Amino acid sequence: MSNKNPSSDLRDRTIAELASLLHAREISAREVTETYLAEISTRDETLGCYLTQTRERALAQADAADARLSAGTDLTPLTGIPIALKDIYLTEGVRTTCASRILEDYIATYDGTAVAKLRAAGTVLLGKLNMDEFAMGSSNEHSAFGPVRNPWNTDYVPGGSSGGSAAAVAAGLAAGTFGTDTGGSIRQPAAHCGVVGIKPTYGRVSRFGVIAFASSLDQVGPLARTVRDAALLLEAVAGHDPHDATSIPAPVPCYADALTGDVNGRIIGLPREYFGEGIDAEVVVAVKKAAAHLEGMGAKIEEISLPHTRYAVPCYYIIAPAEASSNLARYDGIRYGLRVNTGGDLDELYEATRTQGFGPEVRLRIIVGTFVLSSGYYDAYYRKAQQVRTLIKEDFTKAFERCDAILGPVTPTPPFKLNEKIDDPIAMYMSDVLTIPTSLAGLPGMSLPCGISKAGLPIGLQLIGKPLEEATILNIAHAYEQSTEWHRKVPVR
Amino acid sequence: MTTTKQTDIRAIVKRTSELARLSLPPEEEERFIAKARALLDYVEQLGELDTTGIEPTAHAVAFAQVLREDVPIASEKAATILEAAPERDGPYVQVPKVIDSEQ
Repeated sequence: MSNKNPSSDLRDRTIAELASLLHAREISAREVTETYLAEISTRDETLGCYLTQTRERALAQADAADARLSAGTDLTPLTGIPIALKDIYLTEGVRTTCASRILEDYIATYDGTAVAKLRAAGTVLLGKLNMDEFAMGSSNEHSAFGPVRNPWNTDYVPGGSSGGSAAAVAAGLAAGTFGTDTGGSIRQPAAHCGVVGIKPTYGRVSRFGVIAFASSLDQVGPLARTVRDAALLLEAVAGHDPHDATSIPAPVPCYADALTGDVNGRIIGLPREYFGEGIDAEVVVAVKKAAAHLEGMGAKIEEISLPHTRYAVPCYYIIAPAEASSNLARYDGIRYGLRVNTGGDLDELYEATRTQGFGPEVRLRIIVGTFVLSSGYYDAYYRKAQQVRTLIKEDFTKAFERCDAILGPVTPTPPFKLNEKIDDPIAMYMSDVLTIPTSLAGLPGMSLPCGISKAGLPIGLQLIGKPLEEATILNIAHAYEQSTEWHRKVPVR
Repeated sequence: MTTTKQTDIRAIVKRTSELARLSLPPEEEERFIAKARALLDYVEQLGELDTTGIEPTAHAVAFAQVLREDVPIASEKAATILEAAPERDGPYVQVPKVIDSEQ
């Protein structure tokens, strides 16, 4: 090691850079891991990213990675890379809470498929990250274990529900992280924290071992400092899995190889609905500037229309709670998790456990979901929402007859302050107005930084692709990123 | 679209909470009802769209029936899974009595 003070710069390295240093044996996985663990010790008390730290396991995994790197066999681009996971991923032998009291002391009994793949690749697990309880939220304020703060300004939210995953990357408390996205839960916090996040096509990554929120929408994806890093992380987890019948049996391309930086002739659509009423002027300016930049690189920018955009949020707030009410019926205090036994009968045990175990937002969504599925209301709400979902999906199908990708803002505004929207659910839900349509249509979408607001907070650019065309949007994102400086801007430590 | 405006939101929340096996602490009730009303009023706007003849979408990706081969696979996790149960009696998960002895 040539540098006398490795900790000062190792934490700023991308995964791709760390991999080449590790493979060349210029640094050890233990050094990298110790650097990150030290950062977490010093700075996470303020930020609140980690719910569980797996320090001993991390050091053991780092030593095992170093052994692999010394032997020079069985190496992957992720061998020895310290990562962290949203606390929605089951990790065998490690506490997995979903940021809920109902799973506060739950130790997962198996690794989910994505976790098993990351472990086999030789990654080092630093710990489990804070989130909105059961992934329901857009600010990380709905965690049962306290909020996460935005590393750019701790008065502001990091976004949600993968708030810990985004803030940890932005603050340099992990080299890369994984989140989940149901209506924007990777893309929105990535935008608010100024990092890269991708929600792949529904079915691209197995959901086996990822705690279910809304099963027709949930999808696994990475958050990282650069597009290349996100590509490396995505490739490691993508692919068909016999344990998830909704995973797509299509081959996984080498996403990193797709990053040519050439966007010449690519047709990129700008939906006029994504720049209209309710979208902050600073956001519009930053995103349009990014579009002009890509035009300068040879892409063709065309205005398009996604006419049902404004119906996506109400559609989602029927479908997602409906699915959640069904998925969360399993938390009954019988087989695992919290049990509140009042000494009464079984029904009393269920009710006491669920009432004490779930936080207010989760209870709201369960009750709304139960209502829209209940006899006499099903057709008016749930079936209606599913029909609207078809219309939203068709908007995209039409747009993609002409376009290679769609570009717009990720969020209608830059990050908001803690407590600003906590009592107004509709205002909070509108944070996801530009990410929910993609989720309902099952399409890949990603967020990358494209500006800083006057208040000094990040602004995100969203790229949406055709089904299974993650490589296309990753390449456009890479072309933009590498010819601009936004990815080099990090919050003051 | 059937509207909830004429219906008593309080009654809906009460009935649905029972179905969902949840109870609302009295101090939370008003705030909760206000939020539920806001949300249910908000989704009413889907009624503006004519969806006659539109097929519902349950899943963004259409899947054919996915079945694996019917071969037993051994699980070695039984003991670990059982350990996760909050109350146990040997190899059983303990629950309050569900059968009335007088029946």
